[in-house]
Amino acid sequence: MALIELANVHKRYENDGVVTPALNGVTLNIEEGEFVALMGPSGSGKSTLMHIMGFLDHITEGTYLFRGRDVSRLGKDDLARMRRGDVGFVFQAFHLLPKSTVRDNVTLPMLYAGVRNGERRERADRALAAVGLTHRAEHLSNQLSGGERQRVAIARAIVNDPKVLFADEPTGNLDTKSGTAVLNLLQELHEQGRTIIMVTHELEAAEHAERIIRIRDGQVITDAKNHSRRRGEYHK
Amino acid sequence: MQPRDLFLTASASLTRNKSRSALTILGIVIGIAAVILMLSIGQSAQGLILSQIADLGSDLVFVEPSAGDPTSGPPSPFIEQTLTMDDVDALRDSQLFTEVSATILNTLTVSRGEESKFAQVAGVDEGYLTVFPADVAIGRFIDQQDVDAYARVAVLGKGVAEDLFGDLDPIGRDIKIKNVNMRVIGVLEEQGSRFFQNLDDRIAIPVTTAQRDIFGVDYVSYISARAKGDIEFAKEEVRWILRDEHNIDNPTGELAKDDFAVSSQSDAVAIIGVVGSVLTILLSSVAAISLVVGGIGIMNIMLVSVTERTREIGLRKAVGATEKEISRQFLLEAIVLTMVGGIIGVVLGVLAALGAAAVVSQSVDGWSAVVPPEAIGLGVAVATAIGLVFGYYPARRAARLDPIEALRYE
Repeated sequence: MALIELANVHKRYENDGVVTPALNGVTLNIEEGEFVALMGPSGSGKSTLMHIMGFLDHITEGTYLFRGRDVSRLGKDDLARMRRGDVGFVFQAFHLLPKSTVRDNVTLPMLYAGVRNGERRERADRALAAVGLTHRAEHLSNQLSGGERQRVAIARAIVNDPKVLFADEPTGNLDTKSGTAVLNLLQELHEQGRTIIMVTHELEAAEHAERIIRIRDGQVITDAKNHSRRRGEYHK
Repeated sequence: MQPRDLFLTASASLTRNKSRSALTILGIVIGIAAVILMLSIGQSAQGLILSQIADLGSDLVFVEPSAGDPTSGPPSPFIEQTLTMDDVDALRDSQLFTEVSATILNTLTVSRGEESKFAQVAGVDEGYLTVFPADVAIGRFIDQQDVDAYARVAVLGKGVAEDLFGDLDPIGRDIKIKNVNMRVIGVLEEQGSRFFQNLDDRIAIPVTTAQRDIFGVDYVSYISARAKGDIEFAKEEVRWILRDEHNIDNPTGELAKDDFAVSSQSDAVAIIGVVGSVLTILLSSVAAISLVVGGIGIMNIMLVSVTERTREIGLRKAVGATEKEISRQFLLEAIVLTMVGGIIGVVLGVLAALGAAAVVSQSVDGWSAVVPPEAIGLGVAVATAIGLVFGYYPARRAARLDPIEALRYE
């Protein structure tokens, strides 16, 4: 049983009677423990695909099985609950709460996941240790550099120990050095057994993954193992 | 989300933006403070008037001229003066009353040498002091002999006495009322104000002298009497006696046909009660409008806040917040804001009421601060309800944001 099974998934947006297709029959499986890069130009549908796999969006047609469970027709609230424990997100723009401390930011997902009060601090600190930011726990997030912010976002994404970590252009707002650090961190988390799905349009970033799926016009055009994985080198 | 976490989240969001939160609740603070202040002043005034009415005694019957049918248009300001000394005599003859007293009132120039001032001149008889109880400081009060003899004598209120005579002993000296010399025979102790009239500025003279020599009329302004038995029975008797005196054909006893009105303490209390509730409704509507305006301010700021925090909302949704949890957070923020505003408003309102009472009580005797305890609870409750009502729409807006769009919002 694959972690994610998409079969002939279609997604169409309707706005004022105008129908815009975003995904046109995507079929793919992702196994637990994989590090997958979703590549494609803007407008290709790669973000839509990530949003669907991450329970942020509904599919219009087809089926989506998550760990064997059919989640194709779940309502908004059920999808929200799926997002609590099963997935974690890292965004290009970090999306940290600016006037809150690093630890509070990392604690946020646990509030919605119903983690007991006594357990939160320990788990937040463990996640911060995993991204090497223990010493920054008490700082306000807007006092941090871009690279540090993205590492806080990663700590936030893994604090509930999700089945899959989604990274949407995680290096898009970072310089070369910080981007390298973030990619290395993702590889490290992958080596610890985490499933990571990264959306990117940068080949050098995608080459850190072990599998690259290319999307164009809402369809998978290539899906192949990456035999020349990069490690620790990344240039814009 | 746990209620405790929800509350902490909401208050953290509010304290992150302290000055805006403070400005947001200003409308509510002022609205609630104004409500408390107005309610307090209203109740103090009503309490004062009611206590003065109570001082009159429950056996007092009060007869005034009246402009006939009260249902046929607004009452005329030119009420025909229908009461005379004959009416007074008829009531005395009825044996229903221990005391019947007639008064005629007007404001005139009163002078002594170079000193002159406007004062209220009351033509009275010896029953006057039973309606407006006062001790005689020096000399004596007007008695029946003065009335019978059309005596040119006057009893001064403390204020008039000081204005006209200063430190001099006024007894035996003359004052001029409308060019008629009157001899001062007494001065009353300080009485203060009653029904918002300063009794210390009054001059009492015999009613007969007032009618014939000063005002040149044969009516009296009102008649007061103290009933021996049942007050309602006495009032009805007064009506029949006066209808007879005034030749009014009114066999069914319709009050509208009378040219006079009879009232007692309980009638006055009832009228004050009606006036009080009308005032309360009036003040409440003004207060309600100001609070609605305050509520719209809250809604406005909450909408701005939702727009500003679109990305935060997107993030919260991305980590698993349901629509309900988002809307609860924003609703709670609005409620916490208005509740805090309500509490501050109540505190300010009570302080303002105490301050106002301290100022007013210097010029009005017997005025005391009344802060109705239910107003405190009501103030906080109303403020909280405003948060609930006006926070609902922004909270819905926040909850319905699409997470993907929200995360992309620049």
